[in-house]
Amino acid sequence: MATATASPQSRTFFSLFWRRLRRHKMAMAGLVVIVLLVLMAIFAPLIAPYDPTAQPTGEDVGQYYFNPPSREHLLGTDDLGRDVLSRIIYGSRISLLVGFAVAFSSVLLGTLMGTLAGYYAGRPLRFYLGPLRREKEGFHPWTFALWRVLSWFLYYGALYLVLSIAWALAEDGIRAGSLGSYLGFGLTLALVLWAAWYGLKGQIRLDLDVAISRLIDFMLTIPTLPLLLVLSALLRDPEVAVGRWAQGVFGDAASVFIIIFILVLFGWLGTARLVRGSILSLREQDYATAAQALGASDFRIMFRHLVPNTLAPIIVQATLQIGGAILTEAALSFLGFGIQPPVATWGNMLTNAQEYIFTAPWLALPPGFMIFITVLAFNYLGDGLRDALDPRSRL
Amino acid sequence: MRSAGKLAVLGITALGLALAGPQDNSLIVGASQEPRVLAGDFLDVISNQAIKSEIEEYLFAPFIGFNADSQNFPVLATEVPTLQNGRLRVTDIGAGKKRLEMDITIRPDARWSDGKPITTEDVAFYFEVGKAKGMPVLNPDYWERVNVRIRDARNFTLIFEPAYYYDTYGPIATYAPKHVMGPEWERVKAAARNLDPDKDAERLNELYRNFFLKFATPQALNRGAMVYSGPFTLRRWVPGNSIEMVRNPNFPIKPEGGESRYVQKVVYRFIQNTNSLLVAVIGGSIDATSSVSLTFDQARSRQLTSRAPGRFDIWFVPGAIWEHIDINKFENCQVVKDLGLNDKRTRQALLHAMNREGLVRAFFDGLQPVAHTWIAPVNPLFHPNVKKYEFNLDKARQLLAQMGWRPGPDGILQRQVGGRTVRFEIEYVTTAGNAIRERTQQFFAEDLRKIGIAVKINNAPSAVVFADDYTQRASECKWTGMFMFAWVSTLAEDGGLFQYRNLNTGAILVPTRENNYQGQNIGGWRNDEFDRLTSQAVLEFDEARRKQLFARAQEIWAEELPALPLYFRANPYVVRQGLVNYVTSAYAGGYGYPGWNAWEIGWASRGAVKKWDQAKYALSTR
Amino acid sequence: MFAYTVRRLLQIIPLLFAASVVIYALLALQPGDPLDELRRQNPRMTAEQFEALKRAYGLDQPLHIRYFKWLSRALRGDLGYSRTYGIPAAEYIFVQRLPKTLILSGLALTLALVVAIPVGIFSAVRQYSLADYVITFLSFVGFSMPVFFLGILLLYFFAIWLPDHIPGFPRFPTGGVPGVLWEDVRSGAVSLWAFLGQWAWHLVLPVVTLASLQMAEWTRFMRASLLEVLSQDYIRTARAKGLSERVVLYKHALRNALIPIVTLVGLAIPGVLGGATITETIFSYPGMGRAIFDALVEKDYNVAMAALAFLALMTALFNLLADLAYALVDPRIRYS
Repeated sequence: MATATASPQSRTFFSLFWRRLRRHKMAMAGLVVIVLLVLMAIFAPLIAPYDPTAQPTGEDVGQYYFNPPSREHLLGTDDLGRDVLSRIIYGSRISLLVGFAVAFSSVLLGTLMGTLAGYYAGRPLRFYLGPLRREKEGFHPWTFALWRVLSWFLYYGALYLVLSIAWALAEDGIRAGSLGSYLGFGLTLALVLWAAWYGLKGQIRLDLDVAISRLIDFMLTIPTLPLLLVLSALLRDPEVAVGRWAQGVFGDAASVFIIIFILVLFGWLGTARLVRGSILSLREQDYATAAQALGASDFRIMFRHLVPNTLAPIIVQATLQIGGAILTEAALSFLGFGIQPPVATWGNMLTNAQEYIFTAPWLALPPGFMIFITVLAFNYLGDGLRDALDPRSRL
Repeated sequence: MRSAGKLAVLGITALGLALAGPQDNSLIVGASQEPRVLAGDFLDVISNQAIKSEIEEYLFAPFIGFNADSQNFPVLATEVPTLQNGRLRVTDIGAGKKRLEMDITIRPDARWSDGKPITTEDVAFYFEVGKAKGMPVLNPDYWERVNVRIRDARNFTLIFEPAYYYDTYGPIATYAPKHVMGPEWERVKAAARNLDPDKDAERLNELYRNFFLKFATPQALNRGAMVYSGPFTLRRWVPGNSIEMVRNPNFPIKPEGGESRYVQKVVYRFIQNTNSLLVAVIGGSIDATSSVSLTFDQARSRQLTSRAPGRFDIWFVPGAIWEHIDINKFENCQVVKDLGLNDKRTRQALLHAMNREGLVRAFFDGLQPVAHTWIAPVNPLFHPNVKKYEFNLDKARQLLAQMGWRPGPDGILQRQVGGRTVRFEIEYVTTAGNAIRERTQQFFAEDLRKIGIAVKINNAPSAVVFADDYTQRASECKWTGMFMFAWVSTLAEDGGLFQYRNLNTGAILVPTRENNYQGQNIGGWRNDEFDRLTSQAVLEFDEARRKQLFARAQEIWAEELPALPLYFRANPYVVRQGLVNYVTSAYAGGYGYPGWNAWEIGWASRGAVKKWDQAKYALSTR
Repeated sequence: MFAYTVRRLLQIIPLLFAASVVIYALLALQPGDPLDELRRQNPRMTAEQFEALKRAYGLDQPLHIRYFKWLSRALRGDLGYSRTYGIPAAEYIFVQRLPKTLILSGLALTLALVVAIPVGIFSAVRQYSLADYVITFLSFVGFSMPVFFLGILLLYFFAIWLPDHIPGFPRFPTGGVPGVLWEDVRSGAVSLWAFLGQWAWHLVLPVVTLASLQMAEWTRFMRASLLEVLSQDYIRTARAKGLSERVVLYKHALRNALIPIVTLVGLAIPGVLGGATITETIFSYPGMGRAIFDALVEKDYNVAMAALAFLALMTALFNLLADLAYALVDPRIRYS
């Protein structure tokens, strides 16, 4: 992971890591299962016995519905006579993609935010934005250059985003010649220009912990259902600028990315709070203060010394998030965000089974079992990874 | 006294299961909805939930009832007003408008549950409240047309102006207990005296709602703040659990053989989740289900049907909920023109390609019949001899070929429109999360694919698709193809779903920017003949002539096919065997809820006499 | 510490303001109008009549006016009336729903904690033993089992299958609250014990259903973070000093291992107050989850605002409490 690449002797580190991981039997089993699952998703058309969306036709199709497992249909058929096994195999594509992408991105984002918030709690940071600002001693020049480029990128990127949204919103009105739109856009433009000028030599003193923690608090208070409904209505409306923008940028494949984006947007909060709490405690530990006294950079202390010690809860969080994301995908699709029937995902198969829990209770088992297997396999792999990465463990 | 109370309390709790049914001559009804308020909210200002109306059938009796055969019958009135007995008078008032007068005489023995007689004072009170300035009634059109003339303590006349045929249909219960609610109303009136209905609408609204609430919350009703006039009175309401009602000795109508042979106590048990409700039904703690309870599929689930023989009857009462696919017919939408959706041949081809008979058989065991027009077979205005579109792929292909559609290289139909090649790819929208509709949608999508029509499914939750911003904006191409949903129709059919213009009021019913998106004809169909026929029919008080006009309108509709009719829903009821007269039909009591004849419900083993047979009004699983 | 707490409390004010603006805007911008439904049911309503209804519910004014009207009333302690129930929103949320949710979700949270912490510790101490594997397996079963499935399964077994097959097995209630009122206890019709017994009887299945997921999650977290701490240097030092394993475990290791649990509980409590929509639905339990969900679906803005603003406050407060608890668990953590 991040620590591995930063290591000066990465080759030996990797071989050591791999040797340790191999000795961890359950982790290897988990790895094998995950590889198999991924292969299944990739080669779904070759493996699946039937077309996952093909419905039986002809007279009296009702007899093909809700069939229990049989020789032809190993896992039975669903409410439209489709082969459940094939749907499970095809369903793994979206479910695994969403599960892994969401867990990975939100854990990464959450760890980053949590580490920054925890490490800099009570130690306000100075942000130097513009090129006209003299640099402060104490930073490594390269670090500082990197930091500066990054903050420009973020800062001016944000300004650009504000401007483009303002333009998208005002566009229709300006074409129609409405005064309010001119005024609103003009005002936004003036503000953005002022901020851009300020950014050339600006300096912001910011307690990262306050900023990030209040952002988390704020995000936690947003009720998701109305937010999702509003987004859903906006995204499907071709008349609204946001909908047009989404269509233009993402095209037809938008749905999966939008779902991943939304899940990550709300998924990193828990990880961030978890990591922040641990870092608050760890940064006071002897080895951290020792590293500080030795003049190690903040970055090195955070990601070389502190983060590896928070890995255990992070890995648990990632594991749980995979399962959570697979299930929530279905809920989001019900809200109109994308995966439309008849495309199969484990989440929507499970949710659909709820409807027939008395007619065909066995429909809930295959998708539930797949989610279980995925989460369990990832958990053991995570355990093994953690043990293998831990320099203290004597595997 | 104290121990009796204790027994009563325990009766509906722990031991409730064992004591249910004929043993103690009680009835336990399971419902998946709990009323928010009851009784005091007599104008449905706070809530118009179905379950509220259903329970109020036990608590309040109408002057004129409406039975399972869709016929008026007197309850608290002496007789039904008809043209023959002179109590119903229709007069022409010019400009094609009519006036209706209806004389009603209150039964001399009609009394409230506290023994006070029901008089025209209570009728006058009802109208005074309903017509108060700024009263936020949900059916203002009715209140603008209706008036009352009190003649004496027991006689009054209802006057409708302008009047429509449906004003004579359905239950009439225009009274409220003045001796209980009157004093509080005087205080409200005093507080509202200086308020202006335009400027202080919100303040007025709060005043009125608070007034109704004083006689409608569980706390108020448990305190005994309200009186009742129906066959039962409310004894106890445990929010989140149950409502318990007991016989009202003051109710004037006595069922055959004396009321002691009939149910003495009715308990509504509220179990919101229908799966959990099903568990309760299977477990045997429920005698009958309410009109808002199990879903169609749950009522047919093996867990229930395998236990039913000898224990339950499972009924499917055909209703008037019309599942259909509306089609965008606005020519200004490019897609509509490309696909020719504004041409009736395209719509006919679509319907021929959809195996509705197969769907109804495979999904519903034929218990929900295929629809051919928008009027339900249970409606007296239903006309059976209209053009029908059987499942016939050849006919569909022919019609499409006439429109210039040829299979393209990818198997999807294509044709030339104005020099461009267009593919037949049609948008198909329905409410996400509604399992039956999504399943139906996939079934038909497969059918359409077979004749080379690509379907683009684009579902969203009902909050999104039923928002005015979406449904009412077909003219702005917010939805461009097929939109599947249901209309709930009542007996008061007026053709408004498909009128371009209502000739009686002049209102345009196709929602566009010009009319501020009003009206239910959301697909934008226009047929002047249809408008003329239906507008004329609602003014026709002669049933035969009215039927004729509607029959012609239905023929036109079926030929032009402005929307694709799918099927009419049926409402399932599970009823313990031996319970008699717990019977409903599509329009019984006005809305089709059981309980419209609550005083006749009883257990056969207790001597109750069977008067109504559910088999006459419903289908049953084999 | 005191200054820090005060500062954090002050930070809650702008947070709440921002949250209330966003929540109000989201509610109002939701597709559909609260009166759309009415209009669909009454096609004969004219445009003027519809406008009059809109005025009566204050929906004719622009969004920002409505927000500031709401805010000025809310600051005076008046959260308005529920549109669907007619009663004051505050009474509906805080008197009728919140206490019931506190009972259900509070019990479930306690149960989850009481089970998860010892089981997690056990699982960590006996890492890679058979018992550990069994616990891991079970916790992932618990985690992968969707709540709706578990709830219905429990209902089916305890309300139908077991009573049908085992004579004398008590039939569990299919949900809801018991049919006894507090007034019955006061009037003496029902004894206090019978009242409490009825409640406990009705709460068994929902509490188990609700607790299972959290139990499974927290067991994993407890195990993982204790393992992490047990491999730290200071634990080795403590062991080297010859301290007994018990002392090492409970005095040295557990405290630091609890930090993630503190975080998670801090995050979970606002969720507890917000109710559990699915569990409440399956067991027909009138709690906050259903109330908020219904209010959102039916666009009962006053109720939704009252509940969501309250939850926002609680989220901020319990995150603050979690931060303060860190210092309690690990005295090295200091705030300035």
